[in-house]
Amino acid sequence: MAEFSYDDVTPLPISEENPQLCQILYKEEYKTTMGLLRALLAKKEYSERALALTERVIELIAAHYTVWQYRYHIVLNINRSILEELDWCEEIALENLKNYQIWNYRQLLIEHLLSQGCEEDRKRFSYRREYPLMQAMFDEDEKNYHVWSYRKWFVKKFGLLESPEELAFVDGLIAADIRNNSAWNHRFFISFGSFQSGAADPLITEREISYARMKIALSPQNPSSWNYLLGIYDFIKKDIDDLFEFASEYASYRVEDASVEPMIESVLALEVLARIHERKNPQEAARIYDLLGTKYDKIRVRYWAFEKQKLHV
Amino acid sequence: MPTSELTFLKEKHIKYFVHVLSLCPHQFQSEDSNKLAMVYFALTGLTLANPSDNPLEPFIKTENERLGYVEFIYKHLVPSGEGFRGSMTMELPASEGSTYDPPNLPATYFALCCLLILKEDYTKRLDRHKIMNYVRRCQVDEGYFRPTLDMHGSPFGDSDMRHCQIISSIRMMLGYTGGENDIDCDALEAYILSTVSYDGGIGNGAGEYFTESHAGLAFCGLFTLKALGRLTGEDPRWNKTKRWLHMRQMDYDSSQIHRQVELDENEYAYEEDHGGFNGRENKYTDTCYAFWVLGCLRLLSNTGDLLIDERALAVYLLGQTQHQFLGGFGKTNEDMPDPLHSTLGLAALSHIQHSAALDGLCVEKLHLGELDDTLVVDKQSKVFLDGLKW
Repeated sequence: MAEFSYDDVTPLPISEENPQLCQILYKEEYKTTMGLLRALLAKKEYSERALALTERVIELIAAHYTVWQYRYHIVLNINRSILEELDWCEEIALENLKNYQIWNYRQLLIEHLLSQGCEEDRKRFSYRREYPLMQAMFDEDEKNYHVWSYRKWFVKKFGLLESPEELAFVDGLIAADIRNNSAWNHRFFISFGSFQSGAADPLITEREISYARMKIALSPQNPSSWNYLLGIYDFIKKDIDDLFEFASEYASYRVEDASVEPMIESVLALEVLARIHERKNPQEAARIYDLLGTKYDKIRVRYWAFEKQKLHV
Repeated sequence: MPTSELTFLKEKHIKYFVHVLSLCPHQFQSEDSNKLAMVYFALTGLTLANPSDNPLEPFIKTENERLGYVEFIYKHLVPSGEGFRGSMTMELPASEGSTYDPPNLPATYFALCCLLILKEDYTKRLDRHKIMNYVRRCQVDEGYFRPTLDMHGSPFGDSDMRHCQIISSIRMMLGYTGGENDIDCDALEAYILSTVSYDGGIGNGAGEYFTESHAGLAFCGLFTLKALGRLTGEDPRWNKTKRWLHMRQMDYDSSQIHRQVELDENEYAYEEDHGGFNGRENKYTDTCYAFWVLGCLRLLSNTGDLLIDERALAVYLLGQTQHQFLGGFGKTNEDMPDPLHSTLGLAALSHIQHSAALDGLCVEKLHLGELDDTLVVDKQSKVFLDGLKW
């Protein structure tokens, strides 16, 4: 910002007229920067120095919609290379991980580049440039909701749903942290995002069911993998009865000898058993709901009692 | 913390909100563009912390003061009258046109709420058709909303389920039930239903996007359906959602072997967070999710009966995230209080305050103001809204 002069600009000071509510004790730097921004906004100045100023403002107040809009207009008006602007975006994203508007902005830039960008920029652009940025963001926070939303847009935009790379990417994240629910969610998206409910590819379905079962075996008490498994059953409208043996492995609640403590490795497996029994053997389902409420998942005692009461036994 | 030591710090909470309403430290600068949101949370927090005929009394002493604050909110109305800007920092001279001083939907929502809480009859000063005409144009074909319009009149900004709650509330506060400036309610409903994820929760992306379920977004989605008159809690289609919501309360009772395994294995699990709620699977508990989840359950329940462990939740909120020195609530037990978490912490406590499960928990019985379920403002303000005539 130092390389530009704003001496000819008469700042428009921020109104600090009283009375007001939640008066913020602004720092001088903020008042100066916003005073300049307001003056340039009022003049609708589209220039290199205005571009530099928006960067400073975004560092101070990233959530401000108007400054993003203004920056976008500047970029278009001064014919800045969209590729350069994407480079800038990357730096800013990594500097401030909580900068949420940037992902919407980046989408806007890429959409513009692809539909109206100059030919040279379009030739030089490859969707692959997005990978390192997203990776760097996930290295900082592997559950960043905004980056995950961006990734989904990206996958759709560039037709990467079936790309083996995408599957390897989520697989890597789940291998690193089996409880990364965002990664599980992305896995569902890439596996079933091209299909209508009830009409998934049987090969993919089979692959994903065995994947989920394998991951449950590694961590039987992990809700992400159980939700995934049951989510597939629901999505393809498959009866959960055939999970009976699998779930029983992690919740052998029936013991012959009353002095032996049952092995409940997974409360979630126990719940699945109750769901399976609901239609054919509601008495048994009721018994399991009692066990959940009184012993294994006491915090939800009232919820399990409600589920039991729905059985009318 | 042994439960006998739990205290509800009513006076400290009142002081906290009074303080925020007067002065905020420079750390709040980065929230400047959402100033009206801060005002809304602080005013609402005060109505919850200080239930009485005049809950704002600790801050607003005279009628003149009240009128001054009402005018402060009206100053955020843009010259075209199409809505409000988020902060006076964003105001530009009217002669320069509206390109870079547009209204935005969150600011309009928070301004209307603030006016109601300040008991201002805005029907005389606002043109509701103009506002709804702006709101309507922020809706995209897929049914959701962007927060503002760009210079060409196209929706601009992030798409977020929060905007749906905001729009359905604006619509209610402006007494809109149809007409040429109304939004496309069918498209909005279809959008929200398409965001229900495979685990029963609600995310942020339409249809085939399968975005991750998130309790805050779930509240916004369900709230919107209810406001549109399109939510029947008894509908079995919501059973899986109810299950997912109930699973948000964390059981970290380490005396259970399988819970000990959980505490060892899950880096986001801490024993002291027992009873708190998280917003996504395998994430930390956080004050605000108690409110979002309880709010969802109330929207889905015809009886208002909550099937959660109210006592464990109260122990978590009062013992962990309530700030013992400053009043207010932090996001977690390691955070400083902020207006959003403080207000939502109180709102969650307000929802469970009459539960018998809380008997003997605190030195004094909890006594908090109550939120309306159809608009996230205190009940008095909703009654005030119901009395307005356009």
